[in-house]
Amino acid sequence: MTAYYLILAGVILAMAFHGLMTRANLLRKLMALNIFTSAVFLFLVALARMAEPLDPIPHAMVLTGIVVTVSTTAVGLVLLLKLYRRTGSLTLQSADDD
Amino acid sequence: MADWIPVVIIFGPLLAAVLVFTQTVRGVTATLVTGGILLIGLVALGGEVSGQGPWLTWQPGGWPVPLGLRWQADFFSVAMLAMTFLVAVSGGLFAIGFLPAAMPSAARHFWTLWLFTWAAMNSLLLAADLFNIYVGLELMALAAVGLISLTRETEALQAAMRYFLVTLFGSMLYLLGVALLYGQYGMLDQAALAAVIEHGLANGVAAVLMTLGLLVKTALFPVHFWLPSAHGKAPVPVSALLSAVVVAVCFFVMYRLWSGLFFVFLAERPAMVLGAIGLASILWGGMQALRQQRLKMIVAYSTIAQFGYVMLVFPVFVADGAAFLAWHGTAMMVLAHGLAKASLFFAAGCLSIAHGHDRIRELTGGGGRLGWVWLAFALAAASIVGLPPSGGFVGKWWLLQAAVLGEAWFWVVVMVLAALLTGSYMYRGLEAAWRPAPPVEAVRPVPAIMVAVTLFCAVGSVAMGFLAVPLEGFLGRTFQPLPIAGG
Amino acid sequence: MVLFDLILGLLLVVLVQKCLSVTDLFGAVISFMAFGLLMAVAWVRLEAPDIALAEAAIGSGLTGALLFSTLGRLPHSEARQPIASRTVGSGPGYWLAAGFWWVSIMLLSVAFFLSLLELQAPGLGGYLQERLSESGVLNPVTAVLLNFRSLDTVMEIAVLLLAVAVVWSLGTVGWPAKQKLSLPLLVGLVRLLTPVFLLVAFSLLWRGNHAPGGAFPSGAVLAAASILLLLAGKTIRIYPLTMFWLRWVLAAGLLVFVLAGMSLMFAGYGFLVYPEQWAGTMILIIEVSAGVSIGAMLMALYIGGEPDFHAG
Repeated sequence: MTAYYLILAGVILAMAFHGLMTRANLLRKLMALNIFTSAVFLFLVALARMAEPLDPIPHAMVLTGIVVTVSTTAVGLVLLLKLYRRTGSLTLQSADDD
Repeated sequence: MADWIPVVIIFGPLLAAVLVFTQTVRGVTATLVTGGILLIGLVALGGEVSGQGPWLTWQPGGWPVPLGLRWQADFFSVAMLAMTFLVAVSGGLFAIGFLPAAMPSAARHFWTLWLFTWAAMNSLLLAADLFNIYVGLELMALAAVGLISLTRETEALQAAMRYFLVTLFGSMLYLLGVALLYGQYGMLDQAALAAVIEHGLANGVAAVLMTLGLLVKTALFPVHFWLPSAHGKAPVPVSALLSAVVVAVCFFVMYRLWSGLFFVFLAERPAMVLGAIGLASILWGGMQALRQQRLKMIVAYSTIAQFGYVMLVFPVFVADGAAFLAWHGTAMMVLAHGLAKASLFFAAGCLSIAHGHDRIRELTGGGGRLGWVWLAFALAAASIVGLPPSGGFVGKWWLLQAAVLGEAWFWVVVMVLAALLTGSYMYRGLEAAWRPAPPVEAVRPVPAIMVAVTLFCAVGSVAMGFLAVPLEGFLGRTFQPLPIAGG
Repeated sequence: MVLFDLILGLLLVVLVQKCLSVTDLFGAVISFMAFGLLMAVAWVRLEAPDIALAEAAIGSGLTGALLFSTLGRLPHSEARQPIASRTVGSGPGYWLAAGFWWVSIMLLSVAFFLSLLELQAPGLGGYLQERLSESGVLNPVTAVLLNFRSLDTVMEIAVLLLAVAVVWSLGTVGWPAKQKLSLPLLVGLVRLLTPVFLLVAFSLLWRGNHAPGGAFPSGAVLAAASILLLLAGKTIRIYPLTMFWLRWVLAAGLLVFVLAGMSLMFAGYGFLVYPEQWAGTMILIIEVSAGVSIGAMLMALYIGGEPDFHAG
């Protein structure tokens, strides 16, 4: 069963990566990044379940990760709002210099 | 062993950041007092490492390794901590003059974020535990995002957003690699893992993922694209800290991985790939720097090229001529680059305050204090290019020597070409200094403290060349494997 | 149960797909929240109830609230408008970078799936069981978070506080905040629920030492309670004097943790090394202060800017 969750994590990773790369909308990019993070966490927890006996250390790591992710997401969203007020757009210009 | 040293080094700036956040202490005061305390900590750490080295380890929490986590330090860590200290304090002093002139409204928040970044960098330089490094990377990334967006200008906000997305994605790649390693061995300590790791697909994938994640954060080609805007559009002291130290710390983490944990994988082919990434960064960063019209952007692009140069250590190392010389050269280059790059950004900042812009064509004239600024720029540029007797020269010379001894002729040619390229774009920046000035030009005064700091960093990066012999003596002991059961 | 896992996985994949391709942002955010809730179910299936709690409260709940409040501050057209799926960048530099990523990620995915066969997952469960009695708590996850790997947790609280500092540096929000939802029943419901929330937060904190719970879910429940109060129009009054206290409440969790670690060091035990007979008590003190701070910090992140009582 854990092997199934490992593979599931891999599939979600690939989908989230695709979303992160191809979506121009910043809110969607942020959500894709969050989903990517969730998939990494799923991978860690499935590993913890695979161990015998159950290994609580990845659980603690994921708890830490979840709190870190909500902090970064909050910053990302405020940044997005500031940008929207400035440019009226939810996308980034291409990374050219001046 | 002195337990307090790493605690002071990491939690000194962190507590200062919290006190500034609660508005009980002024930012400037907190930064300078932290600097004073850290100086004691660093001297003590240096003494301990040279007395009981090459490696020191601590167990915060007191639990032995597979369960608990560790801090580790060798002489390279001490040198990096010292460089971080110098740039963080000089940047703080520079900001005393810069903030009121350039961004008075953001001054309140600047110091909190500055101190947070400092704490994050110190924790990364001492961390031995792979997951602890992840948390440190996130702390550093978030603080850097805040610093870049401080001016709240549209371009800075865009640069911050781009940096945010890229760097957090890098962190996740890194964490995925850590998860794979944990799935194999059930351990997170670098030295403990290094003792048991062997060739295998899962380990290889973990190495690739973690390296990719850190390459993104070090801004090497082809994942460099976020750096020029982030470092070019940030406030000047921030650009200096990001380019001189934050990028270097990410490289340091990668370097630690490849000289310890992944050392078994460091064969010809992976080293060639890392070297090729370095070569591409040198070319791309150099060509772009040649095209720039603004001084700050030249300096920003040169960071990509210089860290590309630093990456050449990997192919030179496997060429097996004088492997130790290659490691030493790299360490020296990163350290000298830190001070020189800080000075270059400071100089660009002084000039843009004096002239109100930093377009190279119109930077002529000035005199007075600006003469000192240009002198600092020239000295720092000399160190970046690698002219003797600067610190940059020593680093590049050691690396070149190692390549010659290893008969890695291709990389020798690359290094020489890279030096020429660096020379040309740095000359473009300097050229304005000796162009005849038009007689009348309104130049605003630059606070003396900013000029002094600029000059101090430039002189430091050159003077490091004279410290080459003792430095090599200390570094020489460093590349012995860290014992697993340290106390 | 295999069928259950299969359906769960399928639903997760479908929700990710919807979140990333549904045309309007509002629908995407809904899918994202549903994804988070189902992840909580997956955590339960993987025997990680601590994470399930945190995911439901923070990962899905609070992130969802953040996303909705962001959508609420965007004009209606932007949130509901279908989005043309255009490419992100242009120019040779962009395509080089994109190509590099694609090739490496394709190769990596293949290698990644193959490498799953190799994983042995030795884990530290057995080792941890042996030492658990020395940690001062009974719940192994709390033991790891607050004793074995407490350094990670200190730094994690630092990340939260830093996030508040960054959000505040980006701008102010007029206070009292006007985020009132006009739902007739909400005010009464909130009045009824607030004590319940406080009770739940307290019990989660208390349970943490022997069962799933602890400072983080407890803090999230506190934050949820205050967000509901805010939405019901009950503004929490912040005046110049209380602004001072607010900063200290935000910082308290980190300060107590670091200062506790340092005083232990100066008492001769070592940084964050708890003497065995005091371990339980120290962990409780740290957890209580962290829980309150975490609640305040999550709330501050939700408000999304430094409260500005002049503009209110």
